[in-house]
Formats: sequence, structure tokens, C-alpha cells
Amino acid sequence: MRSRKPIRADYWIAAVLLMSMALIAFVNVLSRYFIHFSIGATEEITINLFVWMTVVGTGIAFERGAQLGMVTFFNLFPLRMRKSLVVFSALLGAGLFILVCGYMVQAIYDELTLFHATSAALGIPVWIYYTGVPLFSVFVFRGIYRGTLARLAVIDGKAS
Amino acid sequence: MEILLISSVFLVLMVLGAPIGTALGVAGVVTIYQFDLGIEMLGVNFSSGIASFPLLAIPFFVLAGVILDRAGLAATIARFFELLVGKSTGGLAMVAVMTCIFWGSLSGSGPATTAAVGMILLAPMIKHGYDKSFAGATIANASDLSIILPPSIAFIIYGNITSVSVSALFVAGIIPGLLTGAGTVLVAYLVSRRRSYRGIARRGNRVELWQAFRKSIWALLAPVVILGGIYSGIFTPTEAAVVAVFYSLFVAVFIYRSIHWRDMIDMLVDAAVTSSVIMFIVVFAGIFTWTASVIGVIDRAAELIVSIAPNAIVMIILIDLLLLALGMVLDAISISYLLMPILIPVLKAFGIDPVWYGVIFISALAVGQATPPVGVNLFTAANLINSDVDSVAKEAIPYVLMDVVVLIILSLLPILSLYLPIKAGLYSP
Repeated sequence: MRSRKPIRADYWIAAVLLMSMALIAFVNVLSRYFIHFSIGATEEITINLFVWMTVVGTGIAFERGAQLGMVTFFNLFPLRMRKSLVVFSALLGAGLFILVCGYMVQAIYDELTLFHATSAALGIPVWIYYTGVPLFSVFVFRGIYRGTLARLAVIDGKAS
Repeated sequence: MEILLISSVFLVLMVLGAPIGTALGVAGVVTIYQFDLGIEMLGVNFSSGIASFPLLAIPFFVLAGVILDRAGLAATIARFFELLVGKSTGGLAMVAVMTCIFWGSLSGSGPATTAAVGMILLAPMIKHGYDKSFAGATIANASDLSIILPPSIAFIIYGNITSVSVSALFVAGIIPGLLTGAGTVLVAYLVSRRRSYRGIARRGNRVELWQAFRKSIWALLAPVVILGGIYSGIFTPTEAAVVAVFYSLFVAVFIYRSIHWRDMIDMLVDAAVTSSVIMFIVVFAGIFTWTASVIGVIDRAAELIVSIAPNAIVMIILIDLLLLALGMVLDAISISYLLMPILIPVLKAFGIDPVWYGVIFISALAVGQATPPVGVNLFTAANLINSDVDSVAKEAIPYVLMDVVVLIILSLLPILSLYLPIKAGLYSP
């Protein structure tokens, strides 16, 4: 059962991010109730790791075909049209993330050159938190690509 | 014009089978771009749509559920209920419902409960002569309770949209959830009696019962820890969720010794993916509803509802019907995002309590999870028994009727939802 295959980079990143979120939040709960010392400022780190984890997880979800959608009508279309639709939604999904990343890079640039804003609780420059989104979006694009190939293969399987 | 654009893009993409998040996001972005509403904020808004402490409860509760599932706790609990009620008529059906009720108070997601309990109990039910579609329908329907009983991802989302305290919503869901659960047990019993589905051969003796109880005590304590913490106001839901994660880990690794540290990566990845599927919808639904409210769709839709409905009761009934219909084609999270922003001003106009309404809203959505054609629980159950959704759906009819009766009772008696949160001091209407 247990394979010795090396664990993929995106799996490692998603796992480490979620585990860190849980650990920071848990230590925060413990310190608040048992030593009455709040490290509430770390909340800021947790929620930003959450953003990064969501980006990595979204990529894996696209690859696994786990995104929720309405299939009632989709399944009524002829197979050839379904193939085009799969490619079409993949392009839309990728386009959406290209826009998100593009405007995020713009925001990072503005922060570095103009605003120099720092976070409310810890005083960390906000652009550091922003960088995770375009960086980890690489996994989203790869996930969309792989997930689309897999769905096309399933439809081809039905056709033959 | 704006309204036409945003709604038609969304609807067309949904019909074409695009993921819901993609459809919401593209519709929002196209409208923002077309009417120059500030597209350059897209990146930052994406990030701020996720970065919220209350929403953090979602990945944590999902992770706790994954850990308890891998630890094999569902089987331990099922065994305990089997010794308790297995012998009576329809025994295994009732065991299935009770295990779902219990699992629902650990997990906040309907399909996750259907899968966890279905894996354990479908095979024995079919072996004992239950119709397999009935077995699937029983578990699919009882799993609805996961989103009514705390912790519930649907309530976290509802709280996020309406700014109502998630703690109050969680506690408000307890009595309605147990009431629905009791109704489900009753239906399981009545149908089994009519079809003479016998119980299993013998009841557990006291020693066996005690042993099973001792074995499951750690699992049985989990909801007490989670809920007790929230009810007494010690934990916020997010804190309770992270406590649940470490409680589950402790129980799984040290008490049941059923998972190894090596399984951790797998579990973390699964939880991250499940939570991301939800957050992908949440973030783009947020952008979609923001756009819809800026271009005035929300206000106009709300005015329309207020002008159509002569009073609060008619409004609630109309929305319930709409929810039941929408629940058949869309998931609970998207529906909440599409409807709740419109309903907030409507609730105000009619003076309806938002916590009470949350319970009704989510209960109506829960019914939708077990009705075709898209009921997510039905799909999960049908997959587990290699059957088609329609035959499972047919067997679900008595359960759905019972759910509707409970929904009416909850709509008539706000006290059932509001008593506990008020008593716990979490809410004052």
C-alpha cells in the first residue's frame, strides 16, 4: 500500500503550510488560556499562510478534477462538444488566475516603489504576503493543464 | 444592462459546465472590467477574500474530520451503536443514522459524512437484506445533518456573509439538528418495519457494550470538547477547530494508534485540497457579490422580494421553495453567496432574526443536498453502491418529506433555534 515514491513539491508545500497554520493557531490558543499571554499578532501570519495554501490546494484540486460544477447540462452535450467545453473552461480558469497574478504583481510593484505599506499587527511589509499568490499560482496553471488532459482522456475513453 | 451582463455570463458558464468558482469569477471580472469598477484591485481582493480568521475554521475542521476518518473512528462508533440498537427492527438503518448524526457533529460537510459512514455501513446493510438504494438513501439523507449540527461549514459561510456570530449559529443548530436526526431515525424505523428489515441476531451483553463504550469514549468525547468549548464561550469556532485538530491527532496517534506520522502528509494534502475547493468558490463568490452589489443588483432584487411578499411568513416560504429548488442544482456555499446578500436587507425589512433564519436557511439547503439531480450526498452514496442517483433518490423521498415537516416546524417555532444560543449568552436578539 504505502509507496516509497518521493512526495511531490506541491504536496509538501500544501502540507507544511496547513501544519504551520494549525501549529501557530494552537500555540496561540494554549498561550492565551494557560499562560494568559496572547500572541494574537501571529493571527496575521496564519491567515496569510491560508491564502497561500488555498492557491496551492486549488492547483491540486484542478488536477484531481475536484472542483465543483454543474454537470447536469454538460452531460447532455455531444462528446465532441464536451471536449471543447472542457478546454474552454480550462482557458477561462487559467485566464482568471493570469489576471489575479498580473494585478498582484502590479500591487507588489506599487508596494515596493510607492506605498511601502506594512501589516497592521506585525509590521511586516505587505508585499511579502502578496508574493505567495503569483508564486504558487504556477501550481494552479499546471493543475489546470493536467486536469484538463485527464478529463479529455476520460471523454476520449467514452467515445471509443 | 449591468445586471444582464453579470447574470448571463454566470448562468451560461454554469450551464456549460465550468467550475462554479470559475463561473462566478469570470462573471464578476467581466462586469468589473466593462463598467470600470476597479479591476486593478483583483489581486489584492483575491488575497483579502481568503485572509479571514473566521474562515480559517474551514481548513481546521476539514483536517480534524480527515484525521478522525483515517483513524477509523467511524467504525468504532458504528460498532457501539450496533450493540446498542442493532437488534431492533431496522437496526442497522438506525445505526447508520445515529452514526451519521454523531459524525455530523465532528465533520462539517455532508459528502464527507456520507463517504465516511457509507464505507463502514453500506456493505453490512446490504448483506443483511436491506435494499441497497434504501441503504444509500438513508446514509445520504442522514448526512445532511452535518451542515445543521455544529461544526458546520455552511454556518461558517453564513456567518461570514451576514456578520452573525458563528458561535451563536453553531449552538442554534444543536436542537434543530437533533430534531431532524430524531425524525430520520423514525423514518428509518418505519420504513424498515413495513419492509420487515430485521435487526441483527443478538444484542450485545453488558460487558460487550461496556467494552465498546470504553473503546469509543475518546471519539464520543470529541464533540463534547468542541461544542462545550464553543457553548461556554471559551473558544471561538476557529479556536475550537484547531483544538479539534490536535485532539483528533492525539486520539488517533496515541489512543487508537491507527495512524502513523507518515500518513500525515497525505491527510494534510487531502484537507488542504478539500478546503481549497470551498475557498475557490468563497473567494470568487465574494468578488461576484461585491460586483453585484456595486451595480445595484442586490438592492433591486431585495426590493423585488419585499414588494412581492406581503409578510414575513410568505417571504420565508417563497425563499424555502427557492432554496429547495436551487439546492438540487447548486452546492450550499454558492447558494449562500448568491442569495444571502440579497436576503440581508429583506430580513431587516421584515424584522426577521438572522440567527433563526440561518438555521432555516441551512436546513432548507441540507434537504437540497439529498435531492436530485445534483444532491451531492446522493451522488456520493450512489457511487459507493455502484448505483444510479435516481434509484437512490426515489428511496430518499420519505426522508425528504420528513425533512420538509421539520423545516416547517423550525419555521413556525423560532424558540427551537434561539433557546440555546440565548441561554448560553452567545446571542441576544
